[in-house]
Amino acid sequence: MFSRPVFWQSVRSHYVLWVICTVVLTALLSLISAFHDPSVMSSFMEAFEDTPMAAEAGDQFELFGSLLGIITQTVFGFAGMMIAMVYVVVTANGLVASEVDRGSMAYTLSTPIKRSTVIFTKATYLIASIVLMFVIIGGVGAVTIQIKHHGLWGTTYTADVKAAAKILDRDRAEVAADLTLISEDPQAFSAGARARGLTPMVYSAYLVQAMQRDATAAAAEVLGMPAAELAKDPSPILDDPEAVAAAAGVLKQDPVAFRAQLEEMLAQMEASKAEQAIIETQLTDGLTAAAKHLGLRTAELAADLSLLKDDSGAMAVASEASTMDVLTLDYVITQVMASNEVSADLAVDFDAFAFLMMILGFLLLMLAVSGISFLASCTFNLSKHSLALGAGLPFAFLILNLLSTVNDTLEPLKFFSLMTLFDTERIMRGLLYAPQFVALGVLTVILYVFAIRVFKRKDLPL
Amino acid sequence: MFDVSFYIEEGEVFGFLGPNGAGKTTTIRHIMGFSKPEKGSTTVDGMDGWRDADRIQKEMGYLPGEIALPANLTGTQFIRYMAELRGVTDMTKTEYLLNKFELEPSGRLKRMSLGMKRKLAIVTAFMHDPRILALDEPTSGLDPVMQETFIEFVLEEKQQGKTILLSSHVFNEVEATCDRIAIIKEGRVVSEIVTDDLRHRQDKVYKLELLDDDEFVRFTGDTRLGIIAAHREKLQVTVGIHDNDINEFFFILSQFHLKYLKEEKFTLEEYFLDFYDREKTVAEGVGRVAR
Repeated sequence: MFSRPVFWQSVRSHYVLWVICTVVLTALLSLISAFHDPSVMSSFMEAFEDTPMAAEAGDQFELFGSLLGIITQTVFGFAGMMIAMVYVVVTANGLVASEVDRGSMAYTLSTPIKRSTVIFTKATYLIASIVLMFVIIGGVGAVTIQIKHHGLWGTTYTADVKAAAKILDRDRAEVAADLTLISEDPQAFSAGARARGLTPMVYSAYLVQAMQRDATAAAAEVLGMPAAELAKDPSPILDDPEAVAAAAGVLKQDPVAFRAQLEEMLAQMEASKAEQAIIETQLTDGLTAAAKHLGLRTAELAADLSLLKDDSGAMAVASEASTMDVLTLDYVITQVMASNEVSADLAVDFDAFAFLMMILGFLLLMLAVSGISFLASCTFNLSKHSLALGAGLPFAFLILNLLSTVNDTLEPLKFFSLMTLFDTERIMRGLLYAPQFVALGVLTVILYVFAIRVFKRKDLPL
Repeated sequence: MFDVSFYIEEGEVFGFLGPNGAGKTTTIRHIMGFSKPEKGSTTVDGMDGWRDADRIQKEMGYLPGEIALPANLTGTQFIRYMAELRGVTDMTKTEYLLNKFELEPSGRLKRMSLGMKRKLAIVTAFMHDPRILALDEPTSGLDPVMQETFIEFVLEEKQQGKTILLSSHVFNEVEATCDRIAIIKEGRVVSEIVTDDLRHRQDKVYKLELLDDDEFVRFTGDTRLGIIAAHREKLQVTVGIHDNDINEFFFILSQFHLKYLKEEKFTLEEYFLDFYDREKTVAEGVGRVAR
């Protein structure tokens, strides 16, 4: 069933391209991980937050601003798939069709090796080489992420939690789980503010928002729904007493009081929707004017609002342009800065499980692609025919997948692309993706079984 | 399309002669089990060429017509690869072959000349000392000296009782090595010859030129002679004579004035070419003489 000489001959013939593609993909993932800076990313997102582009993208912005989001768009996106597919497609063709076309298969088959053994060994090589490629990419990538962001195993703590825990002489995990420990201790509070490089006012606003976030996350866990979704519309919490209790627990509040507060907040949110839009426009006007005053670009100023907040002259200009009084403007800016800090925390968070699942999904996708190419390679006697189908179809899938993201009219194209079965967004959102993975696996098995049968039975022009 | 039937006795060297595209390689493909015959079957050692392809290969050596060696290997690696696939551990035959064909296999296959690749293919076809061989155009790409060496080597193998199918369009190597020759054309065996019959044919052909036109007219009018062709302008006549009648032939000749007389040697090449010129049956082919 398996022939060592045939396997090693396959390795010798194809390792160069394997090394190149593995190195390129690994380097891409490692470099992106190593140079990813969560705070830059969140300011970047902030700069775009009020543009129409952001409105269009919706919460995708938050999703793709994280390290994992960046990785999905590059390594697990078009670029990464291109590179991996070059190896898969070229190797699948080279293993069988090209050897038949050139005639060198004749030497292998003129020995007492069964045809089924030859083809099974070649299939084994193709699968094993792809699996090893992804083990290396995933392994090196994971190590880089761990070294740079400590987000993969062990828990990451923000700078203020670390500083406050030291002052409080408490466990970091304990402090991170209960931020009231910081807000209630003046020493810990000022240490935390210093560690984050924030004024007490902004830090205080940050702590409130961060606790709200944690409360929502606790409730989301009880409700079994994504935290991001619940943050946009917290009303489902009210329907579940357990969720209310969980959220209140985080905030160290009485559930009844929390419920009342939440109800009030929801009502306010509803009422102030229009108002909020106005404030946003006003803020943009103010920022633009202040930026001009300070000789900065608006985006630059948006990336570091403290430049505005700490400059009374600029504040006066901004106040005039935005038609808000200085106090209100100061409050709004404080809230925005606090929420920037909260998003920066999010960027630190790295969903290791999602990363693992993406590596797995990418691997399964490439195995299915290799199945297509291998079947083509086993079916056709001419290299050009094998490549026409074995490379043409996978790359057509890739193009269709790309086109389907352009706009809504083209979106249905995704139903004609194999790549749709590897849906990074679903994985990141924690939606169901196991059926797609199973489908890819089953497809791979079918394609390979079929390819081996075809090769065993066909006439070879050797 | 194709309808080819023949058998090869054990220990026999069988020549397979035919022009390009006649179906020689296709036939060998079927014997090797690369293709499944649409109709009929091939049998080697009592085993079916398609079903038992792998078992047949144990006792078989194959020299492909087109030399397309695997990419990215050196000659030494290729020899080792083939040895591993064949389970050959005793490399004495390989060493012998490398010596015989003066081959230094350590270079990369990509950089080798056609002749070197051909030698490598020969080495790997014979390395396991197989009882049965299928050789497709074995000497194409070899220089004349190596072609001679190869013929010598095939004769050595023949001495050891190997059964060999030799497909070729090089007449002298077929003539020199084969016991029997099949001529294949358009997917059909059109003629089968026992080589010894050719070598020891007793029908001979003589060409002569007469002194002048009178002699020519007198000669061509003689009814005792088996005249095959006559050219009056050149005064040349071609005559077919059986060895038994040779004395009478010379007696008749003595009565004419000749410029010269020479025997037209019968070669396989002529026989073969003539076969392809015209649609001939076996009997006509053997009986042919004049051009």
